[in-house]
Amino acid sequence: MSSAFVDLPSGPVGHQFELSGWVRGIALADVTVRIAGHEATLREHGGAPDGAAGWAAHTTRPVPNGVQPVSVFGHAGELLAQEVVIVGSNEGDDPLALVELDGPAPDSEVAGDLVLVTGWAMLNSRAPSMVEVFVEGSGVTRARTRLPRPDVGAAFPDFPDAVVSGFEARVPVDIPPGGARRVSVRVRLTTHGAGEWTSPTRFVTVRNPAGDAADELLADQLEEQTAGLLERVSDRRDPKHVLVLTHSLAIGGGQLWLQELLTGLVKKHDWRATVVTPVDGPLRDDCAALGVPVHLTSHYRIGDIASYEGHVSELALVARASGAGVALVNTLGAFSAADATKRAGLPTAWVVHESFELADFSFQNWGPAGLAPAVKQRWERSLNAVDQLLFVADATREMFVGHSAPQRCRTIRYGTPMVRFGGRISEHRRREARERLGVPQDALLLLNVGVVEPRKGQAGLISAAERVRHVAPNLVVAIVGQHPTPYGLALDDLVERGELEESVRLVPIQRDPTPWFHAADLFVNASDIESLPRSILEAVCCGLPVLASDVFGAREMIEDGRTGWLFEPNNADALTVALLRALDTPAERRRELADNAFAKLSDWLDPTGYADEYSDVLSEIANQGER
Amino acid sequence: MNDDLSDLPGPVRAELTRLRAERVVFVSEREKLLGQLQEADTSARELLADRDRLAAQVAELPETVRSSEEQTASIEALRAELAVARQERDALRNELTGTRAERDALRLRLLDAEVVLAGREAPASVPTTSAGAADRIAAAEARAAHLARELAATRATISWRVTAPLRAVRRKSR
Repeated sequence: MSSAFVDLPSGPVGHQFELSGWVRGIALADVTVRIAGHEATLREHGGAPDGAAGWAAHTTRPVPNGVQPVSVFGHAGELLAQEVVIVGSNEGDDPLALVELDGPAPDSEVAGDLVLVTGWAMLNSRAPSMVEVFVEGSGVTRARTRLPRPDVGAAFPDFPDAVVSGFEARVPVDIPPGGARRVSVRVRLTTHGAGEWTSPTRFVTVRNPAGDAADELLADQLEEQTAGLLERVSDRRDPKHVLVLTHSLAIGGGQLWLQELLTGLVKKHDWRATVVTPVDGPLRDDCAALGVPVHLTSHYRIGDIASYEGHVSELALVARASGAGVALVNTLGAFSAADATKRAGLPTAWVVHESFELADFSFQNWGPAGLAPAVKQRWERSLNAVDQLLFVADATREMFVGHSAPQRCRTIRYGTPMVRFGGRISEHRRREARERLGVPQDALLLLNVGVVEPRKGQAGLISAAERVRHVAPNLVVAIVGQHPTPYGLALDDLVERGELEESVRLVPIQRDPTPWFHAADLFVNASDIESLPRSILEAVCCGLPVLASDVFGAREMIEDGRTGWLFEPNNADALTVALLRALDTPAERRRELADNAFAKLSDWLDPTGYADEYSDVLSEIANQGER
Repeated sequence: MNDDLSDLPGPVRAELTRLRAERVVFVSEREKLLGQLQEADTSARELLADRDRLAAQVAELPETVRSSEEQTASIEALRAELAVARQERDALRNELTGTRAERDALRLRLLDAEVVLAGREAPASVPTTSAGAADRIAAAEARAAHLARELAATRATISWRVTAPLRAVRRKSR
């Protein structure tokens, strides 16, 4: 008769470990040891009692935290022994940390005025709740977490969070052009219950390149050349004709916002409009229906000063020849359009939706090398030159006011057609929507609407929802906006690895997500950057209590504890607690919070309101002439 | 005046004619000068008026400068106040973040306790051993030691400590 014994360790073990034991009545060659469900590598080992064969088994893949089974099998899969081993750390010890800091490399040189800190991490087998990055002289930056890492997922197949273990922080460093500084970089990981872990310090040199004198000279010459060309174009302006320069006519939030605005300006306020864009798209037909001609241009050329000046010159000539009396530039990245309209002598309003510092925006859009100093200088100059900078949130306005002057910066919030629901959805409509969408009537439906992307924090939402499942077993999370990007695919993986298919629904992008708003009980916005999230407005219009990360415009819409719940961004612990607070709140009180939110926002929820304000602003600057 | 000069001697007549022509020129010149004099007089009066106005402005200038300086100072003071208010707001926001972190930690400890009470962390191991008597004794001893270690490890966990008062309450209520 065969028998086996496992010599268990005296305390918890790490993710990779070796166990020993012995067998009797069977050759070692016929023995298999499985640890956490996977066959371990086996070798002979001393210390066995007389007549027994000693063995040592080593894990072949990392084992996640928790109580893990250890099984010893004999002939024909006969189970000889079964034990458990605890993977983890003793109370008071550091948690088990799996971390890799990909960048910046130690003692490397970073070009520009921003340090990108990237890596992946797991604390006690899970993605950490919070990753803080310390770059000397720049304070503490909370990293964006739960970024897709398929490579880590492949290396740690038994760790559900491995596929979203990435993190990233972009930390601006205050260094003038031509300057350099050596800075220290550290990363701290934190998760409630697991503890924290801090990386060793590494040093990097940040070097901000100086402007090229030849570039500056060329820039001035080309600018003069443009001025000469513009003198030959007659300057006839219609003060009721607006030239709109926008980044794209494809479907997207910023573009739909513009389309609604154009409709209001043309139909309600009798404006004549001409659109100039580098990217064609379905919204061109909408322009045609409004009688708005579209001029297609090339992509904004910002790679070098000569290309930049060439394109600005062409745009300025179009602007001058258009006969428009005023220009409206849409989005922060369209600065060459703003530069062009000002050179053409048009009073210009520039709408900035994005709540990013210039260094950060530049890094995200144009990479670590960023813009050539001469081009960047024109970006900053254009922000200061336009007649009005318009924002959708006060926080964004505050961020940019230093580039302009307070009297030339203004906040105009937008509304939504969903205001027609009046902040309440009938029980009948709710039941109907649930039936149509296949959501159980007794489920507690937590909704998130928005094209899935790392900044919107959908992976953190899935994690937080799982942590509160004990409190709300009927909780169903619906994330509307799924599409097959690396992040979207990582969410698919996360759901599959965590076996969450029953409780998490990843719904493809919907042209009209209204039924989801009708079916939901709670709405969550987990973004770490938002100027004025339209989805929160829509949720409020449909009477949904809102949980939102405490960022930019979101905090201007939601008041913690009075019109919803706010939580710290990029912190899964905080999001978990926000969910718990919402779940702890009686239904009647939730109803009151939703009513309060609708009452608070009702003044600007009507979408025609912002078209009126834009019409006023454009008329004002058109009639006061160029600044 | 007698314009007939025929009875005068020729040279005298010529001299007289020349003098008459000169007189016309002189009269015309005098008229012109009188006009210029009037213009100069007007200009002088205007200049005097300008001078008086400017003098009045100069007299007011210190007041204007003072007012402008006050406005600038006022703007600067408002800017400084705004900067201080923003700093205070940011400090309060940081404080709020800290307070929220404390509150969140407490709520999560409560969640841990709730989870433990609900029995979600029930042990999962069931040893299955087929061995001889000696082996069974050895295995049983090892198992006992293992269970003791597991119990000690469980008692050392945060959730066990957090739920200690709850267990005490439960024992008393039995």
